[in-house]
Amino acid sequence: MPGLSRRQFLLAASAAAAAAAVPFEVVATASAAPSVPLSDAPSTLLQTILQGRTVSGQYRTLVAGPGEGYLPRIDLLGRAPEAARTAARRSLLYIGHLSDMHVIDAQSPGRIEPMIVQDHSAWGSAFHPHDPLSLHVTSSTVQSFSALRYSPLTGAPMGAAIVTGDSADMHSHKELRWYIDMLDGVTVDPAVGIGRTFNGVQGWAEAVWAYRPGNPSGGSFGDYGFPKLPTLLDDSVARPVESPGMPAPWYAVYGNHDTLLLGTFDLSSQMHALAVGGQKSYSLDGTASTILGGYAATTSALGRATDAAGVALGRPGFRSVPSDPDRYLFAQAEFMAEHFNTESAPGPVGHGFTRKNLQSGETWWKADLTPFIRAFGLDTCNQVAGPDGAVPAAQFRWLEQELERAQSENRLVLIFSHHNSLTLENRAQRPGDAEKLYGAEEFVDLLLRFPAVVGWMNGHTHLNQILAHGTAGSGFWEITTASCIDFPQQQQVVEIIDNRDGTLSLFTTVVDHAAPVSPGSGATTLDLASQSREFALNDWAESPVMRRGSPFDRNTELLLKAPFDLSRISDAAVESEHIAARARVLAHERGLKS
Amino acid sequence: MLLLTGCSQIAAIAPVGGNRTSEVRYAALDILVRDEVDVLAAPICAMADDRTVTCTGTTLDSGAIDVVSKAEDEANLTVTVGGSVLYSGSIQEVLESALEPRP
Repeated sequence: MPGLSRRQFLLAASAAAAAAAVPFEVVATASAAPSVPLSDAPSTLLQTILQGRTVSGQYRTLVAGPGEGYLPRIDLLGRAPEAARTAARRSLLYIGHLSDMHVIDAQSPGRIEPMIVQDHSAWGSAFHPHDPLSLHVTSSTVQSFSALRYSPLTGAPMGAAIVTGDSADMHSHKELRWYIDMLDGVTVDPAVGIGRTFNGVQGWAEAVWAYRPGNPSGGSFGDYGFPKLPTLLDDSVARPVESPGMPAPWYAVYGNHDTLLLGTFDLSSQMHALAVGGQKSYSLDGTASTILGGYAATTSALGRATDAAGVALGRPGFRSVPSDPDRYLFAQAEFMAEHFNTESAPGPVGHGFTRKNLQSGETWWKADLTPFIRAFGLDTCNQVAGPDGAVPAAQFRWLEQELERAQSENRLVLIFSHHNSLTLENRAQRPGDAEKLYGAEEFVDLLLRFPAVVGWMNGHTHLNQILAHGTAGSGFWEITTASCIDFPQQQQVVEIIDNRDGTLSLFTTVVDHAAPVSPGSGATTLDLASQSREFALNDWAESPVMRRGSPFDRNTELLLKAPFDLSRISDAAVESEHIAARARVLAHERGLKS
Repeated sequence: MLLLTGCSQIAAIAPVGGNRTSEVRYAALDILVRDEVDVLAAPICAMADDRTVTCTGTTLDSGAIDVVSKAEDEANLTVTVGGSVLYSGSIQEVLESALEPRP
């Protein structure tokens, strides 16, 4: 298959340079050079982060471990792969996969942290000792993707990135804005509107149940051995948090936290009022009566008025905090709409959602990541209650028709959703709702009908997990990535490789965020992100030890039979895509230098 | 009453808490890697109503991989390959060991 002619190369470079606003000669020179894997790209191929020694009580630190190579998985191939594939292969697409960032405004009155007093394990997602540091972890994560803008395997430029939901932790517009800004490369100042003194449960002596870095004694976190760090909370709001932004166009889908409160509950009038008010609960009684009382009150105007008055006047178990109207709880459609309030680069405006989505209210989309790879972004979230999801009939039918089309057009297909095949059984519906909600078995069966589907990328369970669906000779790979909130705070990059022997390989590479293994004392963004990861290791309620997954779930080569003759995808077409992606990455690099 | 009603939903919040099936699967796979077993099909795991987790897979030479963690002994698992027991013991010890630097 011939590649681009000189004339075609110049035309492709010229178009890519114009689109990315990078000088033609810069794009042409970079694109003319052969792609070389970045041997020093900071991924878990080079270094892992492991559990270190116990330093106080049960509290442990982290240490650097050796890099981890790719483990070939042949579940779907049914035989050992050809050794010669490594010499002939070509990269069809290199993408970033982010999930479950859980950006948190820890000072917000719209949080329900004291619920862990009721049952720490069950309510563990309501409070983490590192909640005030989520913005720093997000920045650190984006820094990693920026550093990995070229594939550590082939040197191919990153062509796209996908965020598979749970971006805003507590349905706050402020959290939603922070996440979009971090991915766009816009600096976020956590002190805007509320000042540089931390006002939240972790700074209050009354909240004995919380990890209070100023004086951890007296509660379970102190008993565990969490350290005394008197300046940590104010450090977390001391200065703006910068981000390099993603090096490639990024796309997004809904997660349950972007749909329901704490990803589980409907939004009560009480919570709407609390979120933008100036009273924050530090007690179980205060939180439980407010949240759960709000449930009952949503049914009557009188109840809603009473709730609002209670929030305004204050109740026992609450303390005053600066209020911020930007903390309002967004409506479902606003999640999509906010993705249009974005930078033109890395783009795309809407991040997968289109104007048609805003008009129709449909929360799912399709996008051609290249002329030969089509992505479908689904909304598997339940609108009523519960963290798990399902696939509504309207979306199921739409996807079925789209897969038939993609199959007939010889497109490789990637499916993006928040929920995975182990968490698609939530069929909660409001009285009178009749739409069928499809579960995991039916959904997997649908995907298996279309060999064009090669990968399903998702999140939700905050762990690295890779499952094969199908039998030897056919099927697809399901790739679940971990989160930015729970240990190990890892994300991943995925590269689709044509082995030119009738097989494809999906290479998955786990990415630690850029922060050093051990936190320094400088209170920089990366120091604070590093501190967060160490806290996450010790956040025992979240089962931190298991979430890294096994080697079968981390750095892998996932082989499968090509769904059609991949020589139909010309080298020229692949080269053109790489030139366009490289131009965008070059634009990103110019932004880093400025 | 309201409080009780709300808290009855606590179990529904659990997906980011522990996950027994995943823990058993991870520990079994860690054992297979540790013992350098050539795997054709990685074990697929399922949990029965009584919380017994079983997993089955295949080695490259067509041997059976069987994993079980019984309901009455949730803390432990047994990994069997081609009829030979590779490991029988604590799940947590396997997971902890995989997260620690090798000496």
